[in-house]
Amino acid sequence: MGSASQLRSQTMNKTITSEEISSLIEPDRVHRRVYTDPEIFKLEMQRIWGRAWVFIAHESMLPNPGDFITTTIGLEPVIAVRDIKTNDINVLLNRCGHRGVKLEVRDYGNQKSFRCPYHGWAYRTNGELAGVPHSVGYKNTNFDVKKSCYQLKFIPRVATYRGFVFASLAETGPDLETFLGDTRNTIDNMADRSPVGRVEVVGKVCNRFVQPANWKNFIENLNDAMHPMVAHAATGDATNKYAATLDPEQPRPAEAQVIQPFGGSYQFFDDMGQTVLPYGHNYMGGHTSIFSHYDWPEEYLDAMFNAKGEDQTRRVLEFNRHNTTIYPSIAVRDGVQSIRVVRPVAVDETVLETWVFRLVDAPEQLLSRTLLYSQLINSPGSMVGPDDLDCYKRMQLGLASEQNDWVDFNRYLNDDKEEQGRTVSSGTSDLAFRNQYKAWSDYMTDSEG
Amino acid sequence: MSEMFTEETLLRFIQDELRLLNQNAFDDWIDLFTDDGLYCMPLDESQADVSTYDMIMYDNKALMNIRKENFNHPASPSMKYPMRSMRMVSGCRVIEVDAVSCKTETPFMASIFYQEMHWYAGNYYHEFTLIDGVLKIKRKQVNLLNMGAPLSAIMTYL
Repeated sequence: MGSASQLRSQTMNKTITSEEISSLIEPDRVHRRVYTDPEIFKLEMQRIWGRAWVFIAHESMLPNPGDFITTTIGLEPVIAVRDIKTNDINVLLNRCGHRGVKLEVRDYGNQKSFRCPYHGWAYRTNGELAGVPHSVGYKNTNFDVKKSCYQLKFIPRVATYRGFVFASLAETGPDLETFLGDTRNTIDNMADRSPVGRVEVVGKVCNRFVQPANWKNFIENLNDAMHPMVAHAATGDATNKYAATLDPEQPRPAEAQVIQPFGGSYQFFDDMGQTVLPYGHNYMGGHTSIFSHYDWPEEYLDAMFNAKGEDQTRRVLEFNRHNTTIYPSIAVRDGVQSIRVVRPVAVDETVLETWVFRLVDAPEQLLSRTLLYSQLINSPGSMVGPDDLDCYKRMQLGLASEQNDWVDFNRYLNDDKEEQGRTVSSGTSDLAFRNQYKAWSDYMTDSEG
Repeated sequence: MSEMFTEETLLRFIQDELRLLNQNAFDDWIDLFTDDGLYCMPLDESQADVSTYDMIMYDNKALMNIRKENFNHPASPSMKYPMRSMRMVSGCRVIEVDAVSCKTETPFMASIFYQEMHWYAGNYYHEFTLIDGVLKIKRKQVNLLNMGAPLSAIMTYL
């Protein structure tokens, strides 16, 4: 750990000790401070978001040399850019080495180099400082154009799994494949649903939803199977009323297929089951999920059978996971080809991105369902998303109260089972939350990294 | 070209349409659309074919009817707050016209009170057609000035 990191760690340790952090997490409940305390949030940015592999982009967002996107790792601004010489994807700190100006403010674009708008320092796509204006002023000074402190800082570790680019601010730690573990099967499944085994992002811009709540409210919601039948009852009811007006002899419209499972019974969600994994990851479903009853167009099945054969196609399409959470930054919905990405902003503000994917060489009809799902469930203009948002917001408001400190996670506490080396439980169990807070505690109490 | 496709007539139609939204009169508002009518709100101006990109909203008539039922539903957490809204337009311009259809561009501002004030601005793009001599909306596209930016929940049609 470098001296700046040590200084930061020592500074933080003066305010929050590991013992104090541990006291916030109990087997069946967590203290409200984990959602509301700005100092805890700062420490999370260092110890969780500063160490975990965080989703950056999909390779298809950067097809050409010089293509870039800007995003964040925790609160750290970064540029992911396709190197114009090597074609590699570099992830660089979005901060000029001179006076600290954020170099690139656009969400995406194409640049042969990045030039600081303030004093004109120019950087290559590999982060090298190419030159500074009127350099005569630096003669006989400590400045050297090759000094590392003047380059765009490389994010220490960048790795890609089937086109999904992740980066870690930590110089050491598990490699990406180890970190992803069994969640790789979900990413594989999303890609394998394409006849040629590839997905690509649709569009340059994604839906971004501002949540006035802590980032963990959303991460927990992803695998909270006790909320759909309550928080989304209205949407389910509205859809059922509409469906009742349709001819029962006709195939169910896509709108009903997408929305109606959100009104599923408690038993439906319990039967789905959930599985937890190391590093705080988890997924719901496996054999059944809210995507299980989707229709597959004949044209698509034909393309898949031709490419993979019937047995492999069935294995791919019967792999039914819902919301595979790769803690802390991304949830993958392989069955509907979309991801949701968490970008923390403040202790009580989070931006959620929804990126949708096209299955390469699959009929556009499948993309239509993916888009429909995003627009109905996830976008700021959807019907389902605002109900979740309102619950997160009220949770953040309620947790501000100092009269009750604890958040409960007791559901199916003593009902976990071990299956094939993994811990599983009923779909409505709080197991996923308990697993996330175990990982949270492991990250947060490790002051050395 | 139909005599209905004048800027004065179309502006009056749009103002009447917005009055229905201001009153949350969704049944009457949905009736203004053709059976294959569409309401959409793109994320990006470069989205030429709206059906192949993700959007903020993309409602066909089925979804308009579902949204109508969802609006003010007692079981919806987000629909428990009063909502008052006002949409204003300053004039519309016909940008395409033929014998049976026309397209207009209409700058707008909308204020939605929902827990707090929310302000929206941009352009409406209407596609009109005539069904049995009655003016109908075939498509209404709402291009927000801040399309693509992080947004809070948009609780109703703009």
